[in-house]
Amino acid sequence: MAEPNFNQPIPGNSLTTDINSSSIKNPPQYATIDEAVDFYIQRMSTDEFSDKLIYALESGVSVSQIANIMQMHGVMEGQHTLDISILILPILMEFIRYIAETRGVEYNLGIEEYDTNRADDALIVNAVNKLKKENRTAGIPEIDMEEEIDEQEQPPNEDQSIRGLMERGI
Amino acid sequence: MLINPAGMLYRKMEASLSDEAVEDEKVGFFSRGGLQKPNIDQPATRAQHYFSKIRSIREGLNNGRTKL
Repeated sequence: MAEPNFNQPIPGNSLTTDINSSSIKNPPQYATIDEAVDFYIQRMSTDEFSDKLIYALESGVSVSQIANIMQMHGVMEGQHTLDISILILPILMEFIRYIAETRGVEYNLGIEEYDTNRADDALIVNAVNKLKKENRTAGIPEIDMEEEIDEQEQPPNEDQSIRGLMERGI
Repeated sequence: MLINPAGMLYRKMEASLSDEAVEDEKVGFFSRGGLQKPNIDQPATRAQHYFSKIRSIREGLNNGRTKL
């Protein structure tokens, strides 16, 4: 006799939540641009938000990525419609720029087309931080990157440059 | 190259605020509707209004005209 499989949804599971309880089945909380902008500007004007935003911008996350996440979250939570989110996206980006400039933080706007051959700045920063952490736990001393570059940029020894590949040194 | 939608919207919004944007149809729904008077109740026009407001504050801050 085959063993019963318990890794399945219980019959009628889909009927256990209230009708129209999900956000996509309800009208949005903020129906107009004015209401949505008011909601976001109020939330973004707090010190708590600014601190987190600065941290993200300094980590290399672009302004457009942050604004995108914010508007997407708003749509998923049923705060506003997708139409409104598209219209307020540039406003959010502009306000994030404003916060960054008042705090004197350098930022990446992220409005250029995506270059598929180039890794994202945030990914590079994350990878470097991860490597540094691993090196620290393994007890490997940190390498001064500027010194390394200086050594690489030094011109080759003249004697060596004249000599052929197979030529023996005198 | 992949299209960056956020960047595209931002550039269009910026372009729509320039003086040349009046007759430029490339700015799409952010355009000022040619020589017609823009309808201020339209969502796109409202968005433009807020964008230009924040931008003028930011630029004023950079130029030293606005103080915190």
